[in-house]
Amino acid sequence: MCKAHCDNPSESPDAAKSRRRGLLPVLLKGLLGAAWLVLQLRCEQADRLMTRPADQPLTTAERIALSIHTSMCKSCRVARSQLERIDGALRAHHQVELADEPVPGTEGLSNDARERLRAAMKKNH
Amino acid sequence: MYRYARLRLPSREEAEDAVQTAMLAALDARDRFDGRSTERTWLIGILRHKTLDRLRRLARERRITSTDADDPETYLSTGSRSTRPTSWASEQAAEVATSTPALRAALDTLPERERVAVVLREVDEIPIKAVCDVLSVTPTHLSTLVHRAKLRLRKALTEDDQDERV
Repeated sequence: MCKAHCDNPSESPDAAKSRRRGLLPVLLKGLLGAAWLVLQLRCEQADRLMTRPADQPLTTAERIALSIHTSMCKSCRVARSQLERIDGALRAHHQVELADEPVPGTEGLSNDARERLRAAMKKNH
Repeated sequence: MYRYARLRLPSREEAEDAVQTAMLAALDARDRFDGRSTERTWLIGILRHKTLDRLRRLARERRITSTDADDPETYLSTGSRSTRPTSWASEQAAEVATSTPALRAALDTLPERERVAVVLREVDEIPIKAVCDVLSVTPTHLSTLVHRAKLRLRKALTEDDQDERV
């Protein structure tokens, strides 16, 4: 008995077979898509894929194509690792802001603005 | 709070006004603070709303500068890079290059629209649709802004690193 049928005993062997047949075109489409992308992908498009935000994940074909491209292109390999590191630093920056640690080299609220704020709070409350 | 607003708004005056509005709103709503988060998180939450409202207005009035003309990366006609990216010399150099002060300085050099787009999308992790609404741009335009911002950041941070090694 096949694994799919063991996992789902209510499914008949015929249904499992036809489900497997349904997966084949999807898999083939993904592989063909990746092959086509690898042939087409240049550094310019690779940059586009590498800068895509985390909530817009790459498709399987795009991931494969990018991995193959970066394995052959040293420039994109360097750029990719730097961009991944910058992404991590950007995501971590939110926690830095919440921690309220002063960031060296950045300005704070000016004395004038502090005075205005104090006056406004006094006036309104 | 000012630093939070300044990173997202185009001018010092706008950031100061946003902080003032948020502080007054917080004072009005202080009875509703239930202590489930820290005071700072609560205040930043209020400031975030005020900042987004202000950004929405500025974008409608087209007061956030656009830089659609220049491209941070150059490519040959074949689509390959015209210059080779410089690797960071060591793990330590990479850490210095992406440290908070270096990142803040690099973010400050970005064109306004690109800075706001990358901060809202990557630092605040606000969904695409909401950011498009705030900045009055299409999803395609937004992804171009984020793409350019990241390429510019990469260039700035690797150049900073080269300076540090000299």
